Amino acid sequence: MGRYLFHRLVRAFITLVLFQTALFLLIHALPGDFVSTAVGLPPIWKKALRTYLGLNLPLWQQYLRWMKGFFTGNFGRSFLYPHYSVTALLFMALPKTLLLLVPATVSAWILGVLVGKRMAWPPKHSLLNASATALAVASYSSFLPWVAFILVQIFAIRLRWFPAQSEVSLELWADVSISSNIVMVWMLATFIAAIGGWWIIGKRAKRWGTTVVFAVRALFLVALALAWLLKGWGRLALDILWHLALPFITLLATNFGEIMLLMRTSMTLLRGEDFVLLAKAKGLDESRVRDYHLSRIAILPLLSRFLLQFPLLLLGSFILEKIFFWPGVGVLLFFAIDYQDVPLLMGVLSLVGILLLASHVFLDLALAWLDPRLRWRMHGRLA
Amino acid sequence: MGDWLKGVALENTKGLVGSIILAIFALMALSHPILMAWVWNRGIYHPMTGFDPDIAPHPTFPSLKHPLGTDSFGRDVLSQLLYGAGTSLGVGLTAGFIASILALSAGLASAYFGGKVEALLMALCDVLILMPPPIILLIVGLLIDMRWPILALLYGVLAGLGAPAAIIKSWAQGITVKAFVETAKVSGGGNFYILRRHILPYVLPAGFLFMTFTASGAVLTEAFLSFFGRTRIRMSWGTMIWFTQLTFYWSPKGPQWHALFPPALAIIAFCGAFYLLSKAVEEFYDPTLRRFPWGTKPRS
Repeated sequence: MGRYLFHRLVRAFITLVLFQTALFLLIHALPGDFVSTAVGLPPIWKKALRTYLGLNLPLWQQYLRWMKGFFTGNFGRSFLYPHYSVTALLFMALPKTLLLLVPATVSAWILGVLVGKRMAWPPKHSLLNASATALAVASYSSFLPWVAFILVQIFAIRLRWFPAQSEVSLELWADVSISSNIVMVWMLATFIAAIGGWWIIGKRAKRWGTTVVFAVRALFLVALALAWLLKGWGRLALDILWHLALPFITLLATNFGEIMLLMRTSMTLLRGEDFVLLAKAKGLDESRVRDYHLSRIAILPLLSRFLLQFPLLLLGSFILEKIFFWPGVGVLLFFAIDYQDVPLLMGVLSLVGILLLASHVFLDLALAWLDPRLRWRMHGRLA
Repeated sequence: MGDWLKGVALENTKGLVGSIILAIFALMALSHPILMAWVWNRGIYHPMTGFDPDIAPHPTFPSLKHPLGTDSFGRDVLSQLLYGAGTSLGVGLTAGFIASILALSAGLASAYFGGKVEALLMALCDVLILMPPPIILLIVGLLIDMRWPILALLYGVLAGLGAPAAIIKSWAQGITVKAFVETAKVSGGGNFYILRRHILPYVLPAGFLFMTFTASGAVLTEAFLSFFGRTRIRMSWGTMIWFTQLTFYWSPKGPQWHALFPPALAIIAFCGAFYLLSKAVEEFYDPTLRRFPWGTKPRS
């Protein structure tokens, strides 16, 4: 495993260098530069500005400067917001994007897997099944800005239940001294803790029995909620949740369908296998066969599907940020493209690349850990 | 090929529904120039510049003269929808075709030849996986006039050489070590012959699968880019949605739901059709996926 990890990390490093080179070439192939977007500036000022920003250097010098900056974690200063470094801007925006992306992704997976396995087992062709499939196909293929627009029309403009702009209400946060990012990071941590705790408590079901597990789960969630109230941030967190509702629902609604369809196919593929027959022959009831024997194996092929799905999820959250004025990385990306803010653009694209690369390395390692055959193949022992 | 078409598009219910939907879209795309030439008045029904002076003020709800109503500039929504079908079909099919060809050739070449070819192609693939095509196309949209053939070409290249190539490679690697490939090599089969005759048939279903995924992805991306004004495509479903939501309340008669739903439902139906076709392809090549009476699945 250690050797495999080393090989994977070396490959990831080489990929990162090539990726940065490709990005650099792409961005410098754009016509004009940041200074040329400033219409009406006298030519001599433009020249001075170019010298100041380093835009008049030969391309290879700019390239070396960029690569050096990238590997020392210094993306330079944004042209558009000169008071901040790109790294600071990214760190300011990242919690907001993650708060939108992570809970929606995790919920889409949980919902998709739960519904998908119930549709595949016990196998029957009912009207409910067919309509769930139709709904999933619609969810998988609907146009995100359109869904967002309709939800805004209904819930924000007609019913006035949820806001459709910004991430906090300004009047509530006016006299609060902490930044919303800190609250968001804690919310994210709470979400992950809640999901993890729920799952770990569920593992004890065999020993404790269902009633006790239910009680412990309820206690755990109440304790988490109490911790938030005692901290005094409950009001702030509720405000953020209220603003998060619409983008979250949109992202969930457009992403759970694919996972549900995949889970159902995967379950269908496995349900004639011998181990399922054995489990049935042992006299286990349907739900136990489904939850403990079939769905744990069926979920493995879905993991590699994440490779194809994650970029789309990321793009979806970027687009939602633009639509809902949620000031995350996606808003930075659109700003950077519009104003050709090269350091910011490179920073955002590098961040996207690093997130994708990290998810792939993690996935490879997870699969190698789960499936020993892969590990052998990587070492060349098994062709 | 005849067998294949019959099995995927006629004998399979999902495939049949998918191909009927696609055929309807093709008919829509074909009917637009015919209608414009002989039936519709060019001044009134043109998708970009038409205007109906007889009925005003302009967003109007569906009527006999305009079956789907008109938008805020007085253009006929049905005419725009039919015109957009052509764009979407072109983008989807071109991108899907290019992506599957590239993914198959890159995947097969790197699995079969190994060594430097594999290292080079897989490095390219690793880099492209890190660059989501829609985001790259947002940037490239500044660089060139993004008309639909160029968009489809770029999307096909970026999407095809990414994850699909890697997945096809890992499929093909399992085939290249099989005994019958060795036998063919020993019997003097050329590289190209072995690739075409012995390995391609096994990975072709994956190629078709990625073709359908890329096609619906390309149509959605075209809609995204048009929605954010990054293309030079003058009328497509994405442009229609963007324009309608921009001018949603420009009407004394209430919001323009009539202009918002047709393009969005068309996108859903279009991508849904490709999804159904992909299921049909999967089931054609993997009979274990087909519906069998409970408990009678044939053992492999």
